[in-house]
Order: sequence, then structure tokens, then C-alpha cells
Amino acid sequence: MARALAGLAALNVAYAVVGLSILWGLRGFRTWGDVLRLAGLGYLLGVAAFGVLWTALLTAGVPFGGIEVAGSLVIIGAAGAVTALVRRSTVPHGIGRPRATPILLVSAAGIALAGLYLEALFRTARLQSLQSYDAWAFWVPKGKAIFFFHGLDEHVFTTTPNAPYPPLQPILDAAAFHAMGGAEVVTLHVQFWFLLVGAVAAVAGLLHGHAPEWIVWPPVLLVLVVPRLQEHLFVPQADILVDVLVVVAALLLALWLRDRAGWRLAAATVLLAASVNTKREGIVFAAAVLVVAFAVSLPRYWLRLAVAAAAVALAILPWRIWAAQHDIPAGTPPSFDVDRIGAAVRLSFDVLYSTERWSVVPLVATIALAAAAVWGDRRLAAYIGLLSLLLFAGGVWSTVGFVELTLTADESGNPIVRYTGSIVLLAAAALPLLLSSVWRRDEGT
Amino acid sequence: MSPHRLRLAAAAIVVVPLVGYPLVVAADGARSPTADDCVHVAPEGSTEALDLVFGRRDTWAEADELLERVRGVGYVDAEARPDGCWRWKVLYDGIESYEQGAESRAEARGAGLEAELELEPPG
Amino acid sequence: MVVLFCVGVMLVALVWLYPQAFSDANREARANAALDQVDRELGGGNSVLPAQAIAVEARGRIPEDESFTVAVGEPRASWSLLSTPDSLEHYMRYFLLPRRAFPDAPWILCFACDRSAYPGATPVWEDAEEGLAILRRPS
Repeated sequence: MARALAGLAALNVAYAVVGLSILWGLRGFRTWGDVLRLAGLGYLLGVAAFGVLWTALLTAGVPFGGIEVAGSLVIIGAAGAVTALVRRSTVPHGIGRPRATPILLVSAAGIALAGLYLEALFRTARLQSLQSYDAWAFWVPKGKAIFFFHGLDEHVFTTTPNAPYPPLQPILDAAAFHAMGGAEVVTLHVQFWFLLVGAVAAVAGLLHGHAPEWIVWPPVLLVLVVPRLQEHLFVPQADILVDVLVVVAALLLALWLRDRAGWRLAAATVLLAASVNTKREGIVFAAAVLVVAFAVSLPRYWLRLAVAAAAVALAILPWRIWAAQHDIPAGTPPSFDVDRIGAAVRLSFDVLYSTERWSVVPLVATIALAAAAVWGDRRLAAYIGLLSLLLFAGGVWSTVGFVELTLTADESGNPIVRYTGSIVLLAAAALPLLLSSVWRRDEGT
Repeated sequence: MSPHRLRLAAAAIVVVPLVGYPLVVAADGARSPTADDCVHVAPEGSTEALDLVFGRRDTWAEADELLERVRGVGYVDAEARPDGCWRWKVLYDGIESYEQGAESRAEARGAGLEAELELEPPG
Repeated sequence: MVVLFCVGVMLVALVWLYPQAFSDANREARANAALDQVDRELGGGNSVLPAQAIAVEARGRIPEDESFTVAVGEPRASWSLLSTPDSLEHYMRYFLLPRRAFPDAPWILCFACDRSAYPGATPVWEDAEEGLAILRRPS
């Protein structure tokens, strides 16, 4: 097991290095402090780029093996480095020491509390058994099939439940199995721990400098410890991954709306391309993120967004073509029962504002949204508000469209609780920006 | 507080719990599991229920080969069973005392078999 | 004021939830460490399978390049409600990979199945009390 952990750690460090190489190509780094600050985002970009690449390669019949995995990581990393050299991206110089103000202690406390909790979660993850039905009924078998049979095994991918789900999560599982030296389903939970660490680091790193630390850390820490998330952090399914990819992409776009830095849009595009290959609802989420970005942007930015949207749409094609060739349906809601709309809306609302599941995060986010709309950054408030509304509507649509889903929050009958996780994570990530826009307005008056 | 002390304090706030916590829980002793977790060699003179174990293999087919060899030597009542750690062990469970087991172990080793006295698993 | 209120509310919630979450994580870590290897590896199978032994025996006895099928008959009274044909099939397909599941496979994982449906198949292992057996058809 120690060897399996070491292999997994090496794989995840490789994801981070590859992703940082992509970031270097996109934006350069002034200091090593920048590199550290964006390491989490780099990690997610590495995971996303790897997953999107291998979704396309597997559908084209390229075999998936340990050497191929390592080779692909080298190629993606090299592509980032070559881009950096061609664009003459800045190379990091010096560490860039943090400013020695008392607020530094707040950052330190936030990092310490997050780190301590993540360390406790590592102890949980490393000896976790695979309990969840969906995980053993189809997610992990697909990963095992890619590992054992070196590709999208037709028999497994067409006969396991929920065949329409795209293969990005199973690809990551299979890469993890190669890194571990075997299909160790217990140690596989640590891969989800790495994803969580990357997500926390990405959000905190992106928000640094855009919101005061004393506003950043409370929601970041709080969302980590809300009851619902605690229970499902390491379940080997794709829900957390798709939520993380979409929320970080949304955060990047929220910041892009402010400074129009091209690298943010490019990075968000990679993450959204991965999200549409992770779960079917990733398509709904990605579409919502891009549509709302269009809606709140001036027309002169629409072309850039259109290019991003086209890239995300292209990323869906390999899997959709492979699925169609193997008679796997698209998996869209088959019907629309108008009579269920009212109940579906009430259900989604109750689940979202459930303090038992999400503590005060949605409530505080709603207040922050309203405050930002009145006293703060109205475009940001419009972006987050509209996006949340679209995501909420998506959840209602799935309850209305799949009539076999129960009109309850019982997760064995309706995935609305899992779906709502995306809205709550978005709320937590956006809260610092919303609140700081009000705070800065207050400070200026 | 001077900038230097401020940075030191910040570093301490981060490092102390992040390093201290793993050191504290390491005292819990939750090791990584290994295949040898299911190997319980009997201490000398043990009065617990004992098995004479001739070896472990990763698959039943490999264990069956060893079983044939063990039976061929004379342990006709030997069996192959899962060992609780995803391996298959070939054993003889007719050991009634440590002394008898030690003699059998010596005989088995003399016949070219690997053999060890182990505590019988519960249940 | 709104900002301070929001941050204050979150801090109060954090003070309440963080110690509980931290303690829960540590407790779960200890519980996970206390499991034996078979329990931990089987995971959800412990809820679905009438007995662990059929999974352990199947994984040990069926070569990785051979195939199996799952045959489920009338559930025994001692079985859990989760031991449904679909669950048992899906679980064994997951657990036994890279062994593949095909209807005409030589190995049959029999969960109180009708053995007359598999003429010529002989039991290589069974747990008569739970109605479980691994049958092998001649190739």
C-alpha cells in the first residue's frame, strides 16, 4: 500500500506540474510565490487536459497503458513549455515574500485550518472501503475496464448502468490504477483526496488578491465542513469532479469579467471541456457558465466567448460519436411533465436552503448576492445570480424530465441533492468576491 | 510586531499544526495493511488452537498445486483456504498441541516443504 | 455592516461545525483502520452479498482470463433486502474484473439458483446454508 500511495502521489504531482506548464504558457509567472499560489489551479488544469486528451484518444482506439499515460503527461507539459517559450512568457524570479501585515496571520490561520482538516481527511481516505452503489455499479468498473483492457471496452461500456456517462472520471481512475501498480479500489479514494486538495488550493489561490483574506477563508473552510459534503467527499463518483471543474471555471470567468485577462478564459475553457466529458450534467453546467458570461459581457467580447464555447462543444464530440457508434443513447430527459414543475421547484428550493445539508452557505450567499447587486459589483452579482438561477433550473428540469425520479430528496430516488452541490460550491467560491465588492464600496465612501 | 516576527508567527501558525497533527496520530498506529497481517506465527509453547501452514499463494490454482504436493508427502487431510488477506493458504488443521505441531513442522521441512505453526484464525 | 454580518454568521457556523467535522474525520479514520482486509476490500458487497465467501472464493478460483455468469434464484430468508439479482450481478461484475460476465460463461456464481438450468455444471465450492455455490460447466 505504501508503494501504491507513492505512485498515486507521483501521478498527482505530475498533473500539477503539467498544469503549471500550461499556465506558464498562458500567462507566465513573475515569482515562485505566483507558482505556489496557482498550484491548485495548475493541478486542476493538468487533470482536465489529461482527461480531455484521453477521452479523445480512447475513442480513437489509442491503447491506455502506463507508458502511454506517462508519455501523454510529458507531451502536454512540453506543449505548455513550448508555448511559454514561443510567447516568451515570464519565468519566475524570486519568491515574492508575502507582505508582512497582520492580515498575514489570517491567511496563515486559514491555511492551517484547511490543512489540518485535509490531513484528517487523508487518514479517512487512505483506508476507505468502496460503499456507494453507483461507484461499484458503473464508475469504478469502467475505470477497471480501461485499466485491464487498455481502452473503452465495448462490453463493459455498453452494458454497465448509466452507459451514456462520458469516460473522464474512469480515465482518471485507470491512470490512478496504473500509478498504484494495480486496481486498488481502497487506495483509489486518495485520488479524490488529491482532487479536494487541488480544489481548495485553486479557489484560495484564485481569490488571493481579489478579496481580503478574512473574507476568503470563512466560506472556503465552511463549505469543506458542511455535513453533506463531509459524507460524500471521497465517494469514487464524478459528482465532486464535475462540480469542482465547473465552479473553478466559473470563478475564472468571474475574474475575467473584471480584468479580461485572456489566460483566464483559456483556462476556464480547458476546465469546461473536461466537465462536459465528466458527467451529462457537465454539459448543462458548462452551457450555463458560458451563456451567462455572454449575457453579462459587452458584444466586443462575444467572439472570444464564442471561440471558447466552440472549443468546449468540440470536446464533447469524440465521446458522443463513440457512444452513437455503439448505440448508447444521449441520456437527455425523455419527457417533460408540466404537472411536476411546482413540486420540482419546491424540492430544489428545500434542498438548496437545507441548513442540515449545507449549513448557512446558501443563505449567506443569497444575502451577499443581494448586497452586491445593490451596493457592490453589479455585473458580478448578475453573473453569479444568473448562473445560480440557471443551475437551479437545470436541477428542476432533470426532476421534471425524468419522471421515474421521486419528488423527494431521498438520494436513492432523485439525485437533486448531489446536483445542488454545484450551486453550493459556486456560492462558497463566489461569496468572497461578492462580499469584497460591497466592502470595498463601503471603504471607498 | 516587526515584519520578521510577523512572518515567523505566520509560518508557525501553519507549520506547527500541520506537522504536529501527523506526529500525534502516528501514535495511533494505523499502519497500511499488508498481506502479512494474516500471518500469525505461533509463539513457542502456545496453548492456542494451531494450524500447520505450508505456504500461501495468490490464486486458488497455485494453492491447489501446492496442496497436491503437500498431500503427496502424506498430509492427506491438508486443505487450501482463503487466509483473510486475499491469499490462499495450504494448511493442516489437525494439530492438537504445540509439541505435536513442532514435530510435524520438522518432518514437513525435512520433506522439503515450507512449514510454519500459526495460530488458527478465529471463527 | 452586511459584510461583517455575513462573515460573522459564517464564523459562528464554522466554530460549530469545524470541531465536529474534524472529530468525525478522525473517528471514521479509526473505524476504517479497524476493518479487516476482506471487509475493507468488499466494501458495499458486505451489504449486498449473502456471504463474503462467495466473492473471496470466486476471485481466487476463477482465472482472470475466464468468464462467469451470475444466476440468482429465490432469495433466502437470511439474505439482506439489497441482495437483488441486479445488485448481485453488478457487484460481482465490478468485483471480479478483469473476469468478464457472459450468459454462457463456464463459471456460474449461483445464488440459490436453479441448478437444473446448468446441466453438467458441477459445484467447486458451496455454502449450502446460504444457498451459494460456484459451479463449473465443462468446456
